[in-house]
Amino acid sequence: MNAEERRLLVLEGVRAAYGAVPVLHDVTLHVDRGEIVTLIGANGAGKSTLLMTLFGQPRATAGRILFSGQEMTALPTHRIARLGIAQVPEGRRIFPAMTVEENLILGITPLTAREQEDPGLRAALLEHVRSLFPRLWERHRQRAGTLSGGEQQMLAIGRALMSRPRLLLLDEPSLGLAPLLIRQLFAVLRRIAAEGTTIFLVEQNANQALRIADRGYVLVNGRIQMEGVAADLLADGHVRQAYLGGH
Amino acid sequence: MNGYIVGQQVINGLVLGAIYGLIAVGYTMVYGIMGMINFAHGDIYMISAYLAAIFLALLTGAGVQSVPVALVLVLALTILFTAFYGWTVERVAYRPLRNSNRLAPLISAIGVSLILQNYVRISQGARNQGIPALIEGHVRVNAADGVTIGQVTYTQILIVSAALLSMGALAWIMRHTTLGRSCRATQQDRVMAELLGINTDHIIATVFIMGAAMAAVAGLLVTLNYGSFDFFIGFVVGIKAFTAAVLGGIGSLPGAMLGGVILGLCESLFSGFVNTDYKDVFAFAVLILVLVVRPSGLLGHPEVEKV
Ligand SMILES: Nc1ncnc2c1ncn2[C@@H]1O[C@H](COP(=O)(O)OP(=O)(O)O)[C@@H](O)[C@H]1O
Ligand SMILES: [Mg+2]
Repeated sequence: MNAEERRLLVLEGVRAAYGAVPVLHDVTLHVDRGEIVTLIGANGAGKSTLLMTLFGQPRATAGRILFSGQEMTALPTHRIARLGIAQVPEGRRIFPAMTVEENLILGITPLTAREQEDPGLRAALLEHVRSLFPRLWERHRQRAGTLSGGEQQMLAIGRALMSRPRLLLLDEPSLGLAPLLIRQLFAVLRRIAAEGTTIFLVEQNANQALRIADRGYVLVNGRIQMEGVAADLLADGHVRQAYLGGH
Repeated sequence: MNGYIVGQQVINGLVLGAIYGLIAVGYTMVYGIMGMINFAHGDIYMISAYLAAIFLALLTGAGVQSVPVALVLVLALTILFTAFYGWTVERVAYRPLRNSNRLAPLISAIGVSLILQNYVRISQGARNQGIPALIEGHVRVNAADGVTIGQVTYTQILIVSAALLSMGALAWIMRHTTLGRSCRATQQDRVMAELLGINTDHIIATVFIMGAAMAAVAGLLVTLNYGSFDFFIGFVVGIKAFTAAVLGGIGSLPGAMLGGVILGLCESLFSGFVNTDYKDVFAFAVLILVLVVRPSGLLGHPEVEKV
């Protein structure tokens, strides 16, 4: 495979804005098949906006977004999931009034009608989530709104995995979780990656993120300011000082 | 109090409540998914009454003799055409305003309401329209001691059973099907539903279609029961059904059904024992009272505030 074939996600000079307020300026980055890539940056840098722009919410005002070589910049939001991209958005956005199981089943929407009707496939996908998050599954008949923060995060990840995405986007999944849960979460992300899913991980928890990532990007005020191999970024004095709390 | 009158008013109230509930469902579903009151919904109901009468005349003209066959055909045609009106209203008057402020679709709704009323007035005339009674006969309802406490016409029995059946079907769709799940997801978080691959424009259109279909059932049933209607019936019935939806908790499907029955009963008892002329005033007083005392309604969630 040459470099071009390896690229799963490519952003070229992407700009985005809320109304007249620009947030992203000429963002260029890529994620290769099988990689874990992390995007770190301070609060308000535009990380969440970048993930949402991939889904056209808001839509990029300039530049191109390609998935597996196919241009998706102007695709309607609901069509993008069908390409094989799933997002665990900021704030989890689970459906609180539905049961855990219903939330998970909603995750299969991007599959073809035929796949969605296949009870064997559905059972296998649910079983996969259950193997990743056994404690979550114990509550599968419970309303999702009654779950703890950690369980809701597991649910949001499980829901995203139900469509067997090729690319999994996560927006600060560790936010608000206790240290023990954060360790478990990153272990699960490693396992998901080992099973063949490419991961693009947005984190303020840069230390942990860079430890499991292959490469990283640093976003400052809507611009990519630094990029490199995760271990190099982890060792970089600048990054340490700005995003790793100095230790 | 006279047991016969109480019994009879309860029966009439249940029938009225079934009608209100059927229409209230359309208000509540649209509000739940878009955070907007579709003020044209009462007029969709009014149109369905005309459509039912037109199809009935056409079928009779075509020589359909059997009443049950005619009713089933009229029901199917009325639902189909009313649903088309509901879909068109959403497509033309609301979808282009999807990302504007909250006031714009409201004004658009009032505009649609006026257009529909005048469209019917011009095309069908302003006079009262009527259909002949199709179903004759009634059964007596007796208390345990054998005293008759009321009578129920076959039409009323048909109304309540048809209302129960269609509401049950709708509730089942919302609870157990992929479409229902997608509707609920869109209602709870529209952007997340889109991220998951749900075409929420389709879902919203479908909700308008389902609401219009329920109103069509009501339109046919009312036409059968009262036999007469005009281009303005959508206004008062619409506001009452809206009251029922608010009473039950706007956004809640079981709430709309419950609110319909409660309002129907109250209104019927009020006009039986207090005053018939003021029964509409009474219904609006209920609306104001609910809005003041418990704006979230009987089964609604207090935190519901759409963004
Ligand atoms: N829905 C929105 N409307 C307007 N401005 C927004 C919206 N969401 C975020 N912003 C602004 O865009 C900038 C980037 O925000 P965000 O992408 O959430 O950053 P991050 O995820 O890195 O914390 C911030 O200045 C924020 O205030
Ligand atoms: Mg963010």
